[in-house]
Amino acid sequence: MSADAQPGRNLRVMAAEDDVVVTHEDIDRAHDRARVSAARLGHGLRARTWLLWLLIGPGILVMLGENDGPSMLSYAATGAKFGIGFFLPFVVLTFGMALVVQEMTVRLGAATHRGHAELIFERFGPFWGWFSMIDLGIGNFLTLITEFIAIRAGLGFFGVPPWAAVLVALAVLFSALLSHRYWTWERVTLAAAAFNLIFIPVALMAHPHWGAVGHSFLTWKPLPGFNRDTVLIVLSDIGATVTPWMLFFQQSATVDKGLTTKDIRFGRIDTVLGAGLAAAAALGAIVATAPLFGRMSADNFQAAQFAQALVPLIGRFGASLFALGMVEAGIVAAITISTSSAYAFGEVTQRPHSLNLPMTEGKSFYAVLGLCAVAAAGIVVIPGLPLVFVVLVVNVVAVLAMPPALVFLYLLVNDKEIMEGVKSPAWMNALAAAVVVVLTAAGILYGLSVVAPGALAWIGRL
Amino acid sequence: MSQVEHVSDADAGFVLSNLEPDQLALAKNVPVARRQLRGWKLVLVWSLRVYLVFMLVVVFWQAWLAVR
Repeated sequence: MSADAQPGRNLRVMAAEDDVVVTHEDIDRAHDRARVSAARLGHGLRARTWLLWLLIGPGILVMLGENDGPSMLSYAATGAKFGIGFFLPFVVLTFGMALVVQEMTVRLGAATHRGHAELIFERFGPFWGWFSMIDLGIGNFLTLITEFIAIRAGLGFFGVPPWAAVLVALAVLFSALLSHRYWTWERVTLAAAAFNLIFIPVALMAHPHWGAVGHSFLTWKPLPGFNRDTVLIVLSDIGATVTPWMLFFQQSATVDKGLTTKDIRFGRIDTVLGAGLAAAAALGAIVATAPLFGRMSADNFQAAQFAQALVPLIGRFGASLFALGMVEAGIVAAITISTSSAYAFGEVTQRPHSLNLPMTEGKSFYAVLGLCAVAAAGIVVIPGLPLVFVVLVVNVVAVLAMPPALVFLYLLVNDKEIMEGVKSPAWMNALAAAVVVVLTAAGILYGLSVVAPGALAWIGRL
Repeated sequence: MSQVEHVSDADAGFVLSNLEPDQLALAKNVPVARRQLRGWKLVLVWSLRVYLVFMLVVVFWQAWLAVR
């Protein structure tokens, strides 16, 4: 046995073999993997369910995490502005797109055991790596600000002052980190994310017209008018389900959880479960605010205003649940998005980056995570800042940044040298290419609506 | 101040038997081989980069006007 210490690594242990160094992070991950190996030996439904319980996490977290403050506001605005119709099946379709994209990150993470930022840097070089990091950094920070806006607005409904609202959110965020174990962090965050489903009972309280709901899924009608407002909501709803941080987060979380190629099937189930739950919550938000159709302007996208407007329709209790749902959406997304930034920073700078790290060993990881959250929270409590600007652009920016991010994902997941026999089949590539085309086309339509509104009207008449 | 922890051979064996070699934290210090982007792939990533920059200018300009 030999021992070694290096600057920057506070806890290092040498394994019996001199050339293998085992860190604290490895020990924690090995314990998680040992439980998975033991569960694999079992037979029957109970054993399979236990195995599934051990392996789920990143997929559900990324999908419910993306049902964040601006996303739920976007769904609420969709319901209030367009009622029940085209957008119900459309939102389900966007979750289908998210599923296609996120499944690729599971395979990539399980096959390479590397995070997304790390792979882009090492495989394609720092030039493209930095572009991706800048996209991610800007998108994540803007989104984080909107999470705290949603938290502030949601708790504002109960009379909580802004400074107290952001402090509550930061307290929850830092509490989830206290254990310094990926497994505990994941379970705490999953428990918090489950509250996203609160939008389903809120929808039921709105007494939706089930015939209209069924009709919309069968016919995608009534169709909205083809104009700038519709294009903006389409883009906003796409940006509510498919965003760059999700790629980086799920791949890094898959690696941190220790999934291997044997676990890919369960990783897919995890992602499908997440997409199903998140789609149900998103549809709940649309259905809940559909009674506001024709009664209020949804142009402002303010959470508290939606909750206030819902009071006469679903009562104070229902409106309170809606506001709490906004708070939950903001808190869970603040946790996952700041973690995504910290993972990417660690991967690019080759510093330790794992939720299994003790605080002393993962100083830079936890510092980035905490600083991102604190900075975004701080901005939200500065009076007079034009924060509506951020809310307006955040989902649109996410949609625009996706095609470049997806092309790198596509190239990596088809890279035979790193994919260990789990590269994408042709049909999956066709779906991924279709997602890139749809996202790019949506972005171009939005650009047209701004630069040449006449051209958009002309397309609408076709 | 670095801190060193000794583990038994059994503990080290436990880690090595439950993790794939590439999963060890320090295995990630070995970089993945570089690959050059060429041909249609290079054209595609540059095209999407130009698209993104142009569209971001449009979005921020539009949002700025909306806020004002």
